[in-house]
Amino acid sequence: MMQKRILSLALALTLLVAAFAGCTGSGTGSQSSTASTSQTSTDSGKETLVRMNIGSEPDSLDPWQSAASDTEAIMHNVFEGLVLYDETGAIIPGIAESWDISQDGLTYTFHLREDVTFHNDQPLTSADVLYTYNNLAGMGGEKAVSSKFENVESFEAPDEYTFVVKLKEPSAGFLSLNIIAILPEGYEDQATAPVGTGPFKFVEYTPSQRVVLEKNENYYNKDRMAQVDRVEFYIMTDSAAVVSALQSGTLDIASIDADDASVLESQFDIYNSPQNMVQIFAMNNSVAPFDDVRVRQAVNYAIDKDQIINTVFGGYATKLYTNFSPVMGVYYNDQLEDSYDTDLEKAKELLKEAGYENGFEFTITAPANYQAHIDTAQIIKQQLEQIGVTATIETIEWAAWLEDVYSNAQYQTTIVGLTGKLDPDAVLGRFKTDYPKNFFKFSDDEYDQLITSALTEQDEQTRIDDYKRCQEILTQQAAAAFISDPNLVVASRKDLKGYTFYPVTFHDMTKLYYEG
Amino acid sequence: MAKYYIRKVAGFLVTLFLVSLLTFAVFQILPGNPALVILGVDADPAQIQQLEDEMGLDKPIPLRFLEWVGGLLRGDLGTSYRYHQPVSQLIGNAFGVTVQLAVFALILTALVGIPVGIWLSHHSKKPYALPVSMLSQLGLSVPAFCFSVLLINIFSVQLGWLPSMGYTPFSQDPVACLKSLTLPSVAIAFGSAAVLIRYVKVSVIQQEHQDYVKTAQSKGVPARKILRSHVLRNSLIPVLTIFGMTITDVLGGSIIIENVFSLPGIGKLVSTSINSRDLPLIQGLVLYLAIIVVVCNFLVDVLYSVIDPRIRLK
Repeated sequence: MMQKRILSLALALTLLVAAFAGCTGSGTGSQSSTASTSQTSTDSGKETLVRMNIGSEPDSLDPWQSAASDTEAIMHNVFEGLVLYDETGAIIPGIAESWDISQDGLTYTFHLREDVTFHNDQPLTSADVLYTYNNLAGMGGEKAVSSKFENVESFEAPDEYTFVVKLKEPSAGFLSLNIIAILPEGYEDQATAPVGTGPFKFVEYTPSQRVVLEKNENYYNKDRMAQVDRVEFYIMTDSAAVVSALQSGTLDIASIDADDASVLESQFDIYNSPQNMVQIFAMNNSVAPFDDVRVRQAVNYAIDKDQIINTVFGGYATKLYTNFSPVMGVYYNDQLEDSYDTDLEKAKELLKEAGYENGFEFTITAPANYQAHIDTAQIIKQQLEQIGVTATIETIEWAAWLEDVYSNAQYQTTIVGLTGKLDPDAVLGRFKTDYPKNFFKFSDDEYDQLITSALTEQDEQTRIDDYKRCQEILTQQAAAAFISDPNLVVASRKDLKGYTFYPVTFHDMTKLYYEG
Repeated sequence: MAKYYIRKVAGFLVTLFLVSLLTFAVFQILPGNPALVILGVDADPAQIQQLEDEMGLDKPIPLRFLEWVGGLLRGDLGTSYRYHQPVSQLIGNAFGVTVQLAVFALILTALVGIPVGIWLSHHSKKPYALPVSMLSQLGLSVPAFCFSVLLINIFSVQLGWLPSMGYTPFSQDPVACLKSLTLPSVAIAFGSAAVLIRYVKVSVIQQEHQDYVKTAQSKGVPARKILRSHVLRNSLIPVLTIFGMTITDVLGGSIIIENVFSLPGIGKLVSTSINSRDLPLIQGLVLYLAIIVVVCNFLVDVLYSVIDPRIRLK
């Protein structure tokens, strides 16, 4: 009896092991068999379809109620502003074919295209633009839906295709605000059936499942005409599910975890690019011991960013030195790239100067839903042990993180990714003393002054210099440890070409096309 | 009899009220502002303000609870913060998916569990039964999530027969609908059939040692007939209990399975609503879950008395 039990236990274990071997083995074993299934799915029919994943549920389809970058990444195919941005982040004409800026920098006159129609066939005129901007800025009796237009004095629509904005103060960053979506006047159902002017029309949204868009055949700009007929975005929260969906041909293109790139690279084209995110090890500048700049610098010297990039992101990340990604082009300060090379001796020395010769203990509060940040925390913990500093990692739910850390700054240190914006003010402004969500509790008089003056600065070179100096201050003051810009990694079917990266997360579906 | 029902319904209503009150209270204590969770770190302060107003978060807490109860009495579960849709509609849609999944999984469970259990009860000592009992042991010990990954690897990635994710409504394409539900149903059925097999087996063996079986045998009733008309009926009682629990479980939403296969069912709704602090939706789901548990238990009670007329509802 006993023998039999042992035998059955042994056999059960063998089976179990075999099952697990199947789990891991099939990742590599499947490469030849899947290539064929993924080809068949869309090529044959007349209608071309692209299926992609998104990592989170849209916060709202109504652009006025939406702020999530994942939502913007897909809905920017549906909505357009007066201006658009290109791959380098430069502002290009959109609904407005041209614009004039007055000498004093206070008056912007936009000349609208006359051939733009909304997806509900209503032609676009300056009345729609006026309606949109009145709502954004809270003018004409409307309630403001954005706080970015407080600098506006007035809006006018002198004729059907001209729109004039008068500012209270000149603002070099104003033009880039106009990428914001233009909505049709009087249309109330944006949250359920969004209507824009973009190259794709909204078709359907099934909560927790998918968002479907289709080609706008009447799109005015032939150069930006969609090349595929239909796009389906599947809401997928599990990265393993994304990989198997690609392998089984249920997705055509997907943004993936860097870890998964090696599994997929033989069957798929892998593209990657910095995504203008700053992964940051934030130290609360207002609590001891991190209120001492020397301690923050010591931490910076102790952290080996390359190790994090190679371990956590499989090499798919761009090293950072300040709160700014190199994709920001002209505004990026490349003179900082040799600061804080890993130097444990120097770190220990700085700690000694600050009176922490025997180290100290502290907590890293990491958001539980971001595995990459938790993994980074583990590595930083080990690296800091080398200079005698002991970290305890505490993971908390995202909702709790937003409340405790982000809103109330009740924390010692944390790790998070700050998504990038086209406007350098939106990126660097987070460190301004009176920024409501300055959870770093960083404060520097010169910094505040530069950020404020750069906003109204007319001379572009001075403005660039101001922002570069701001980045330098952040580095010198070690406002935080700026780790990396984790690259956006995209795996695409080999016959699906044209995926294009932008300095902000935008899945531009107009560029995609099937080869052959 | 009428008294029995009145007491049951009254007890049920009190439970529902307390459960709702408790859920409401817990989500007041938990950190997390729903407006901030929905809009994220890039939100404009004006947007957060507007969303908070829309949700009525500026009103005092007791008032909000009373308003919710008032709406409930009028049959209005409120509007989801996250989806801007009526809660009843969201739950209704998700329920449609989950019910299909449940029916599919339960049919598989019964089709596999009952015959294999009966077979094992007679053959468990034979060497050729060993692989079968081991497989059922495996079903008990391997988590459904791990089994799902294995299924996806074999049937979606390697063979390409079935989709690894997504859901097609039955009305749109019945074949695609069945295909999309096959793997998740099998994943659920694998575990629940394993449990069922064990219960059926034990229960049948127990019944076969009863005196009435010996009597029937000595009367000369054929073994097949004893099994069919005496043993099976009596062994069904514990089986029904397990079956009831499985139904409740699956209808309550298989959070993990629905997430792995990206199915828009109740389980997926539960996890998103909690993560986004979508209180109206959570409250609605809690009500739904409570109702499912009570209704399933009630049906099981009724079925007991159908199978065994000696059992009366008291």
